[in-house]
Amino acid sequence: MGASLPPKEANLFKLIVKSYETKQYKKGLKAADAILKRFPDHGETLSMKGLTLNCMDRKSEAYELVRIGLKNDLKSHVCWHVYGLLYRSDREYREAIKCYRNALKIDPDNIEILRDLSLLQAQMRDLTGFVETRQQLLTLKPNHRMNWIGFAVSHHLNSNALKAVEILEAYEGTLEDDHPPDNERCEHGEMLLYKVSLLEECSLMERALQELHKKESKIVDKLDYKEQEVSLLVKLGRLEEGAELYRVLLSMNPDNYRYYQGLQKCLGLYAENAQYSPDEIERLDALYKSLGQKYSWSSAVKRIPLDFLQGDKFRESADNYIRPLLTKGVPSLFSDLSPLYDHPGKADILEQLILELEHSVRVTGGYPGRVEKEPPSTLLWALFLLAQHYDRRGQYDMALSKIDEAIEHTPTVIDLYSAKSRFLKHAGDLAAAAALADEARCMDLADRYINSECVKRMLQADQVPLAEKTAVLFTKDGDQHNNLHDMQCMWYELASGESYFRQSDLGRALKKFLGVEKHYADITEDQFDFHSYCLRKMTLRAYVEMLKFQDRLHSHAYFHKAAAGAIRCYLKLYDSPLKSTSEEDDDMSKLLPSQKKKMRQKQRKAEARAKKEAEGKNEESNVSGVSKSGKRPVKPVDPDPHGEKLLQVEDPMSEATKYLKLLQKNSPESLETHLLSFEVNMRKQKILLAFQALKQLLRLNAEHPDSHRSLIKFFNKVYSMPAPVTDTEKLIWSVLEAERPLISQLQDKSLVEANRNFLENHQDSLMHRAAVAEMMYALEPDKKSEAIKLIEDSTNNMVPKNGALGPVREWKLKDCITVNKLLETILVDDAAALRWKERCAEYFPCSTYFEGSRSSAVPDSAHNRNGSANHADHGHGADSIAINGKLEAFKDLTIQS
Amino acid sequence: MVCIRKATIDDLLAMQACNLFCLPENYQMKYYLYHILSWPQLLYVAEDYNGRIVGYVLAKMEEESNECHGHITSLAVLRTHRKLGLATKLMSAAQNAMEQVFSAEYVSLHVRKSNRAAFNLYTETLGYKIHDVEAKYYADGEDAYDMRKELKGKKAHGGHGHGHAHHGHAAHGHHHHHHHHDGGCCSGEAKPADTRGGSKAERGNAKMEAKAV
Repeated sequence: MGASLPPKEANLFKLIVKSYETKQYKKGLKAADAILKRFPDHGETLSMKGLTLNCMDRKSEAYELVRIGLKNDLKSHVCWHVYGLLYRSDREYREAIKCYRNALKIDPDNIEILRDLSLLQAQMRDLTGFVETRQQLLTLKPNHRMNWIGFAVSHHLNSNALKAVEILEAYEGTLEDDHPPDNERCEHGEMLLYKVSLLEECSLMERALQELHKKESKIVDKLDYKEQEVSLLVKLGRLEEGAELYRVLLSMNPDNYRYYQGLQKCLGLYAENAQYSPDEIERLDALYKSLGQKYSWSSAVKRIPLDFLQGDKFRESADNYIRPLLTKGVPSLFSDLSPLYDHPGKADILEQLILELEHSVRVTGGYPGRVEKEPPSTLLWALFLLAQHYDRRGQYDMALSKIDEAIEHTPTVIDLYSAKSRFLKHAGDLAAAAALADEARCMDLADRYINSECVKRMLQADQVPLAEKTAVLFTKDGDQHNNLHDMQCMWYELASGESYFRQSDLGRALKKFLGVEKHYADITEDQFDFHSYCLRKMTLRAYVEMLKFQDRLHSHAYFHKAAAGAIRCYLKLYDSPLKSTSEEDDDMSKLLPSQKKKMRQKQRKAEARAKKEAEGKNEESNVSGVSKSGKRPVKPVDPDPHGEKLLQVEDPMSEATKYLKLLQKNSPESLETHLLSFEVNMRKQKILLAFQALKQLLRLNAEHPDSHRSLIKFFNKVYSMPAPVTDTEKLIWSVLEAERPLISQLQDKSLVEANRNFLENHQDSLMHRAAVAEMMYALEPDKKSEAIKLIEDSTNNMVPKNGALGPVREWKLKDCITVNKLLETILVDDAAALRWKERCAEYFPCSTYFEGSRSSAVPDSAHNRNGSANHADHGHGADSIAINGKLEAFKDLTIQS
Repeated sequence: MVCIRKATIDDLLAMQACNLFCLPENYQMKYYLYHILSWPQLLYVAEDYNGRIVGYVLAKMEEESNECHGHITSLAVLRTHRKLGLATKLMSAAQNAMEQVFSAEYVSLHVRKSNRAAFNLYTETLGYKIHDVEAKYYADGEDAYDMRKELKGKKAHGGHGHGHAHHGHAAHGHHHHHHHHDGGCCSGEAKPADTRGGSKAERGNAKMEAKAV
């Protein structure tokens, strides 16, 4: 490095490198300039100066200098290496790999470059390349532990676990007998456990177990040792020993459900579908009774039997389980019982049981059959449990009346307000739910959980500015407005994106959705530093698990939601590129005049405020570029905080396709993925891709209303296209001709027939009828009134319960709203939409959407709390509870900031 | 009711979500990755019957002045799942692992002065003692108690714990400074660049909060 320079400059060059490594960039820059004064064309110096500037956020200069440097000295591995590092810093890994390879052509044994290359290969999952590079590194420096480990891991990742074992054993052969020294015991133990897990992966169970036993004294992590041992014993069919070991593990942690499951498996008492014969149930019951005596403080031994017990035994155990928890006042009791509602018959038993307990405590002050009196709080928790039970069963009236009774009993328990807020949300009154969550929040301003819950409700009620203000109470961070994005608070970004989308603010919605997408890109990036770190630290099992986790990262639910949300924004943008003022007015026409006025005022205020804030911020950063504290440079101000620029894309469908590809790759089993693909490709006129999406929809669920819609829409469009002319068109045509007979829904039926056929199969389902009606209108526009009649003739039956008709109807609020929108916007019949609305207002009296008689949309309804506009202006609901004067004042202060 | 088990990589996103929902001190995903890839034995989660993560403990090892000790980075239990002793169970599990795997001599943590619920849990149930007060430790200017608990099975007076919780008296030691060296007790290796949490974690050592216990 710097070899061509005279001694003084050569030393300066070393200083640049050192300064770069120690992040003393100014010093490095000075040294570089000193060299360049005498040798202005010195390639390596130019490169290093560029690399230094890159760290000082002077990107374009950096690239320019690095490129000139390279041009001036194409034979320098340093210049190539630096170019690679520059690309690496911009996450352009493929380009970086090319640069490193060029550097290695010049200096094939350069350890540093080889190591950097290996990291990129691991990051990019170029596994054969990774194996090669690690082999080279080991050959060059066989006395480094890390090189042995790296070589072994590379083979493991490249699906050759056996080879990895061989390498590790060869490495062990190089060690002294007294290895490891005290300070390496953990690491050595980790390596041994990794090796055993590799043997297990190769299905060499016997050998793995032998190895484990042989090395027992050298394995420090005794818990992992036992877990590994039990896993091998079970796989070897040595179930008695396995059961014994599971009992040992349980004595160490009787709250680990996986140990119970393992023990059941060893005893031949485990069924994946949880279906057991009466004999098995008896044995299981006995098992848990004996375990219960040993681990009396474990709640698991008491809860698990509720899963397999049936009938009277279930009732008895549930009774014994519930009583002490009500007495203790455990708020999560209902959530703990809720999975039992999916077991046939158990919900009814629970209802009876809870009603009996509540009745007895209310009337006698104690549980049935007991003389001891319960504390007064037991009634409260029984009411709480009962209310949640009714909510779960869709009996919102009952749920609300029970929770009100509980609140009257003890008005200071915050959980009651949270629960009531949730019930109101389920019942369809989003504004009242938000107001009540705010009331709960005000009862303990120091608790972020209820703050978050409140923010969530506000977003559901489309009160985004208020939600943000509330969230800021916990997320203000120095100069930053809030740190929600920096801290990767994805639930918040998704919920606010969805709200903006509902309000047709596509720019802000996109901003939020793409923000979440970026978090996932960052997490993928996060793994980079760990490729070398874990090899040194020897946490090899965790490392390999982490790589697998990264490979499936984008299948995570939050990513799916964000990508789907973004694609929907682009679809909407494509369908209505420019939003005129008249359309906006149209959106507001559904509101009452007073609400309209308030909303307009709110919008104007918000706009003015946002403008002011943006101006203020830009001034600040223009002046200094350094924050007041002087330490951290201010993050560059987001030039597009409201996503307006995101809306100015040339081609929304090609943007959508980017995210669609990620969904197709990572969520291929989701109906939504293919539905979005269908919509995007239909708009792009990509007939064959749309057809592929359709086939996927039919594969996943041909009976879904959306699959049916897509089928009819697709062929309706294909049939209306002009006869094929070009070769491509003819090819597409011939593919469709060949494929069509394979679609069982069509066979030789016309589309009208296929639509009718679908109706016959799904007569009783509202959403299926709606889909048929919509398609009827699409196929034969003159049948509009018939289509509307089809929807209006649907009946909302009572859901049967215990063989009789229960108190709850079939239709879901969400579905009814969808149908209303269908009538309004696609079938465009205002009278029918209004009739529908009135009908649904009866079914959903709390629904604000349908303006039900008890919703807060109606001026004198029970849950009306002066609406949200009032909230925004005054900071809190009129009837929020003041804990004390001080807190109340604090609240006003912070929320209006 | 709730399963207490070692965290896996797949739990990290849910742990982060749990943290963001109920605590004011938050960290980016890389900080969680850093913990699990350094001390996989020290992360535990509480998983409810619906498979939801309702609590976690995030802990690490620190090596300062040759005294190997553990540190609780973050502990959270959802408000809805209090009164089940989850915080105690999570803490005991992490402390046991610190002691068994890393031979930690003591474990330290920070708690807001105003957080009485958490303070009571640490002193009364888990046997922690105040070691020091760190002025303005938190971003909002609040002080923290620097608390410690002796490990190595040394029996303590006072404080009656639950199940297999250990008790100990406060250790005397050095000031707990704000920049940590990592690599734990097993190695002196450097940690990967920039694994800190977010801006808040950068300001101080990872902070301790407990709610709803």
